Amino acid sequence: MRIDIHSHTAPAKYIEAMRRDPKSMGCRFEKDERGRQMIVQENGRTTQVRENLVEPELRLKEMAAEGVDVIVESLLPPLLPMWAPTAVAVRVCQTVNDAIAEDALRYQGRMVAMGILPLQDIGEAVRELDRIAKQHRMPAVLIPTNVGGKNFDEPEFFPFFERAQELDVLIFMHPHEVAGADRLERYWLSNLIGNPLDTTIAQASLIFGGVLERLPGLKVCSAHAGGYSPWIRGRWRHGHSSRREAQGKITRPVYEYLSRLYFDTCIFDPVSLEFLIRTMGSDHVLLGTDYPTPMIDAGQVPVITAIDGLSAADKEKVLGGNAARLLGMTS
Amino acid sequence: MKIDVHAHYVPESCLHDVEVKGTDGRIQGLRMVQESGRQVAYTNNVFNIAFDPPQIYSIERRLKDMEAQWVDMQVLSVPPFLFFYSTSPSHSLELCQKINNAFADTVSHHPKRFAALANLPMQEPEMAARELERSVRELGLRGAEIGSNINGKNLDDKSFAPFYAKLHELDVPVFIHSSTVLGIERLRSYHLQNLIGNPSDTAVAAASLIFGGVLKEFPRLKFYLAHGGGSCPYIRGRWEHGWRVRPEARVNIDRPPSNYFKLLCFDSLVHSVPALNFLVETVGVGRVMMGSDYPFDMGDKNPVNDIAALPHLADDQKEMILGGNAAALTKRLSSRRGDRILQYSDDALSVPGGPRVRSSS
Repeated sequence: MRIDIHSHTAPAKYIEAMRRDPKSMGCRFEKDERGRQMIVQENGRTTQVRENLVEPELRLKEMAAEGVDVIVESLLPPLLPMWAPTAVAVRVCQTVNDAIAEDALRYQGRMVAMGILPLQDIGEAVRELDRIAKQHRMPAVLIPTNVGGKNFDEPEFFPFFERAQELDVLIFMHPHEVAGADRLERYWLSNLIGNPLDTTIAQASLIFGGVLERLPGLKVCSAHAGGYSPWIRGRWRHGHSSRREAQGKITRPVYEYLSRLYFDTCIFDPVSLEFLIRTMGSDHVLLGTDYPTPMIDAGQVPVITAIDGLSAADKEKVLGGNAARLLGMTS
Repeated sequence: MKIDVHAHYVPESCLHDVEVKGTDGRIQGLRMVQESGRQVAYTNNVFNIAFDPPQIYSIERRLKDMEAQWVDMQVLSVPPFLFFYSTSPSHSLELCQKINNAFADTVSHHPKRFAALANLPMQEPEMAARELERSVRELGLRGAEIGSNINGKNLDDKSFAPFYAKLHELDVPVFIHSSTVLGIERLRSYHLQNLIGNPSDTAVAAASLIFGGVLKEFPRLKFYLAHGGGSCPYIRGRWEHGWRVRPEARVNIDRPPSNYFKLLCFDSLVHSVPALNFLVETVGVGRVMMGSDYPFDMGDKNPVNDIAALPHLADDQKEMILGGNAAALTKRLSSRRGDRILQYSDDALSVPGGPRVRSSS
């Protein structure tokens, strides 16, 4: 069973809700001058909505062509309501989560739901996490790599991570509103460098900030092959062993915490992908494509299948076995 | 010959001059003081224990350390806290001249043990170009070291054109070293400004040279990046794909970024055998040069041993990383000095990507 952990959607019921009551959702649905359908959020962000972001049948068909059997559905991250007042964010999260859960139920065995949370208010975030775990048995949530510029080692976030561990929910960290944007304005560097940078900061915050030390059972998967933490981990180890500031709030070597993390395969380069799998282990890498964005890393199933020196069993883990285990699916 | 291309040095004769007040009013540079009977260092006005003070200025100590590390030659450059980019241009030029003169003096006393890279007032690129020319033609320095950004300006800023033109004319390499990194407000804990900021800022520098069209305009420029190129070797596939699908990434280059990425060189300072193997496999053995970050605690105390121990490389490939690639750059530079023309083989650097080696297990 091939499972794509990194697949984005804007479910139909969520779009219906913003059409019905744009004010309460903090966004509206409209057509631009060229007839393209857009979601315009009150923070000014505009996101084009193509059919394959919305229609489950089309999504399943396109991913089947990619060799994927199961897609894990998460909201397209630019649509995350992290900017919104709490009441709006709660409504958007509930609407999106109910919509994705409904799709996952209808296409049981082919779609899995990944929720979102109003993390600007941790009380509300934990409440929504409890709700979707109980009501929808949702096995995973997508979180941004920072919340309003705050890193995840801030104590205010701890109750969320603690509850996620208790509920055994997989956390998928995806870049959003990245660090250093003032230096990344040209050439789309905000994505090409900013995204991996922010994902790397998020992992470092969980590691050095002691979150993983306190929560050894926490399941966290990072988008885009971890940004670049697998590649610069030697620098982290060296810094941790030679600099007092880098001691952080941890008692064990940096690699111990890093090796608890999971990574998707969205890295666009077979050499980097092989490095990732060999470095972090075939138990910790999950097929992820970033479908259906322009930054989709397509055609991965044959690439992974063709990796020299990786056993068939290891390949099956990367292609779906690991995801099935982390999502509590019977594979 | 084992050549360390990432070794920082402050000439002893300059120690009294290299702490200044920037135009922003902040103290920057290096101050050595005696505290409780021992010498301690302040960098940018902050107590710094990242190195043993004599290591930064004492040639005697340095030669001894090099002996212990099996390093034959260091290519000297200032530590980034001596960049003086936010000092007034004239003051910065004065300091750079003094440092560059002292570098030349050190090299003249130990020509087989040291080469040196000029420090430049990059906030004033035309002035930097002139000082580069003086440093290379009159002092015999081998190239320059610059920051991964200049006061927050990325390296594709149009204002740097005269500097690149001069580099092109002189045909000398530039060592790019991270400084004043991006996203600092998110990197204040756990030394992350170094552990994440340095690799990220180096990637921004590389991306600026690639996507900004600097390497398209000046394909002969030889840039080498500190810390194994920061994050860029691992994420270069994302750059390649981004260029294909996003028009913003194509505004200055109509060929894929890999076409320019392959022109860059890298030091070997990645603190991990699998990572160094990956770097060599990704960029080619002809583009990696031994770098230690001497004398800092974030450096590699055994750079020669670490490269010699690489499991997947043949001896001649190791020799390229240990010194052969750097020697090719060095000879290239010698030929620019005076009227002496040196023949050299540039094969290592002219093969795109260089020979491939496989990493396994």
